[in-house]
Amino acid sequence: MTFNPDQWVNKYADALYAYTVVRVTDVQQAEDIVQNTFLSAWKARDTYKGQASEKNWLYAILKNKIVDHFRKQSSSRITLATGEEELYFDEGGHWKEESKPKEWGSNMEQPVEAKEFYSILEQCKQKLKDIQQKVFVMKYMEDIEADEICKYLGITPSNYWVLVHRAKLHLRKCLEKNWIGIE
Amino acid sequence: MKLFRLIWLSCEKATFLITKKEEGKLTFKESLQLKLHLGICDFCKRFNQQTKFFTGRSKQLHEHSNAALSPEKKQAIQSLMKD
Repeated sequence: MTFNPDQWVNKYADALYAYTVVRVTDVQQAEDIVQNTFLSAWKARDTYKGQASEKNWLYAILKNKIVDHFRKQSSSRITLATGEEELYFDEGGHWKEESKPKEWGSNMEQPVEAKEFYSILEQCKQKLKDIQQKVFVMKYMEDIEADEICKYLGITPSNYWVLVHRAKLHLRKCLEKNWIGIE
Repeated sequence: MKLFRLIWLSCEKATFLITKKEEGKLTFKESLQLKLHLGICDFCKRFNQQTKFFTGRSKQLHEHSNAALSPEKKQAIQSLMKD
């Protein structure tokens, strides 16, 4: 199995950075996380046992750093502002006229313009509130269990449901407007 | 009327339960309510399909990103990887 620390930066730096920056959004913080990943891996290189490929080993370290980063940032208890749902629903909980999900049609079948879709998804994600982004990334991009996410971020399960619900409402609307092109 | 009230869900609640369902946290009653609601409400059905569409793809976001580290930053990291 290949294990060549001298080549790591050359081979993996861009991929690890892209992986990180779409998750943590902040460029400077993403750079720091990638740097720390390489340095931790370098220091631990004697412990590499070859069960995972060099690449997967680096990704495992990186993913830990990303979760650590989210966890460190959210030490204080959060209180959720009320009323974000009112953008989409009336008092009876019905969709407001302008918020009713429209037909997306064939756009959902084949990723014709995959690049465009992903770049708009990324922009929409960046518009979410910080805590909504974190929950979204951990759940849907890092596949972490809800219980774990609550523990990491110090939030209750009911806060978690609300945050994911809001993130989905905002993202769906944003994609409909900017990707599908329906105002 | 009683039955109706028992199974009726608002769209706000229905979309909320879609998220709760992902963790397998629905009660029997909620699960029935959601199923019936999605059977009759086109808007929530779309919400369900569309949110599954983009959440399922968000994992691949980085594969479509052009983000790259600057040569200077790479150089800096490389120079730190020394004993």
